[in-house]
Amino acid sequence: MCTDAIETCPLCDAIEKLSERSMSAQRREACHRMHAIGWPNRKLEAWRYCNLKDIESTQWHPAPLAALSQADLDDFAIDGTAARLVFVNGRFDPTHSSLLPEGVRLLGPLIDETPLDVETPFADDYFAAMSTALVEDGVIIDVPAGVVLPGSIHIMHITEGGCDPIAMTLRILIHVGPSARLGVIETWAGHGTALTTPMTEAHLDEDARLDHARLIEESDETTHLGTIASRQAAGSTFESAILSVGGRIARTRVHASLDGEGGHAAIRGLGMGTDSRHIDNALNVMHASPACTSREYFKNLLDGDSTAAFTGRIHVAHGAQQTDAVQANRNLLLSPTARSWARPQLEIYADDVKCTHGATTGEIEAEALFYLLARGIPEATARSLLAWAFVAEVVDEVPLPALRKHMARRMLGMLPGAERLDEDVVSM
Amino acid sequence: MSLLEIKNLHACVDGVEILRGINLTINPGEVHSIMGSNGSGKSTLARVLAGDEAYEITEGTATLNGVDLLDMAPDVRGREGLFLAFQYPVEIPGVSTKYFLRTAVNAVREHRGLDELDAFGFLKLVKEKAAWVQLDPALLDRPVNEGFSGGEKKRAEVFQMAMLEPIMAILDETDSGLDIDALRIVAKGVNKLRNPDRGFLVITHYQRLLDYIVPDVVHVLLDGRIVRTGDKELALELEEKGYGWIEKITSTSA
Repeated sequence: MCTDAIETCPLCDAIEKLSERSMSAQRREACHRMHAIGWPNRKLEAWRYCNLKDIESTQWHPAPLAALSQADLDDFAIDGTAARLVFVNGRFDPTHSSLLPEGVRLLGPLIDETPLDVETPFADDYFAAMSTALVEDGVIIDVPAGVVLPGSIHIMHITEGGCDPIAMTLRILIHVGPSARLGVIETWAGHGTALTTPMTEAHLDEDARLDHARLIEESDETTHLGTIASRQAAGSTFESAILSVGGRIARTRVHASLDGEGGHAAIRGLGMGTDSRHIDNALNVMHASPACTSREYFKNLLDGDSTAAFTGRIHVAHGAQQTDAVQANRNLLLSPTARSWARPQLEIYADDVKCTHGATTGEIEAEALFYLLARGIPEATARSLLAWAFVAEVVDEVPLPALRKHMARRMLGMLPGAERLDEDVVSM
Repeated sequence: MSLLEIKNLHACVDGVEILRGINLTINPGEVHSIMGSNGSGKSTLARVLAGDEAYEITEGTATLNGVDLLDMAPDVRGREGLFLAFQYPVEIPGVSTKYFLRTAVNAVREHRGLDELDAFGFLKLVKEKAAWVQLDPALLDRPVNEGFSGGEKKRAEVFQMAMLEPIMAILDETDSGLDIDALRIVAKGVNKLRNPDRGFLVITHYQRLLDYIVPDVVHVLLDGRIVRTGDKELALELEEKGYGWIEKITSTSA
């Protein structure tokens, strides 16, 4: 099936060699899909701001078996989570993982019998197809009706790479039963040159709640092209936060489908751009039923030559009355060479809806700066404090307490001019 | 030596002259009030003195304790002891009031050659000064001014003033939007701060505030100039006769 692909597709030929196991039918199918879609170029609307040239010609190598270093564990672990599942170079690491909580299974042993991509909204996405073609492991979480899992499950993927570029992924499949509740934090981090293509799919039954976050702390040499898909039944709540603080490219595509009446989806994003990093978020929020609310709040703090793109599509289906959708993208530029693009796309086929969108790009607000200066705070400190305020506001709203503290410290470490602030800015 | 001395101060914004020759001298321990109708230039004067860069100073001088004020950056003015209570205090989501204020207090202390306050000393001071304006200390864990009511914002401004112990305090319509109880609380806080070394410039539209913060000198501002100066009786006269009276007698005498 994939024979012609191997000849013409730059990644297809590598995939068979990258894998430890023989290609299953569904992975071959995905491989074929990659070929049919073709390598994305910047003429395509979805990839306009994302330069993939560097990885197009990359020779990928199999991800080596590697051990997690203690330093990485200390650095990327999050205190206060209920369970931790560690994956290193795409493989499960039982040594550093907790016992699997009830309702949590590893995808690896079940991969050939688990249908992937049955109803994927990313059928047109080259890297989503690649994710399926490459996937060897992941996590299946199934929370039964009415069960509230205390705390959150932390799924850590660490790249322990070297000079050779490696490509890895995980599939996380979440089902939250009626009135059940779950918290999931993903970390994507590591060292070396890599391409990671994580895909998370969440199904929420009636009145279920999922608090989710994906923390992208990849190395400066890593290209991170991820996807998140959610389907929500009536009355359910999906909260997700995409926190991009690493990777040369951190791109996340989200498809959130509000299928049942009265569902609520809140998707937040925070990107911190330094050097020449690119942060890219493309969201598609589908209001398929009446009386659903959706919130998209995406902020980027951009320094150096970094760039950020936000594409937000809101689709309100015929009959989805009393839709309440809000979309906001704010960019704070700390350097004259940083850039951002925002593209709101609204498609509304119902007449009783409230959809608002706004995008701003600017420097530090003059009145806030004047207020701090008037109190005697030196200008450089005042600017750092306002940059901190810009990012901290997002973190304050993430409904995962364990993550908030970890993120705040991480962001403070990355903040330009953070040396002018006291560590107490996180806790006070 | 006078504390604040303003001579022939002219300032523009977007090419429009707002201040057209202000002369004003405040001595240590004095409370001056500036009254004026909307658009007379009251708030502009406050913001020009605090160093708002939106305004261009085209003529004149201002000194604080004999030192050129207009030459100082706004943060230096703050550390030198000038304080502006904002008419519209700015909300800063993401930074707690306590952290913001500790940063400010320690910047001012360092400038005065004092040691930084440690956490204990700072919180002790917070508790003491918050009580002056009946401000719930729990409010200070919130982001700066976020979720504060109008009255809480104004009380928080006076609380900040008490924490920073300025030598020259400017209150820009601190009474606006306050009910009578909140007005009394704010005034009480200000009165506690009055001492023989400290000067106040109280900007207000209404005489009401001056029943509680009794000024030594009252100035009336009209079209960017001080057109009349008197004692607290002037405020009462103005209240009775209205700003139209000032406009009338000014144009007659001109």
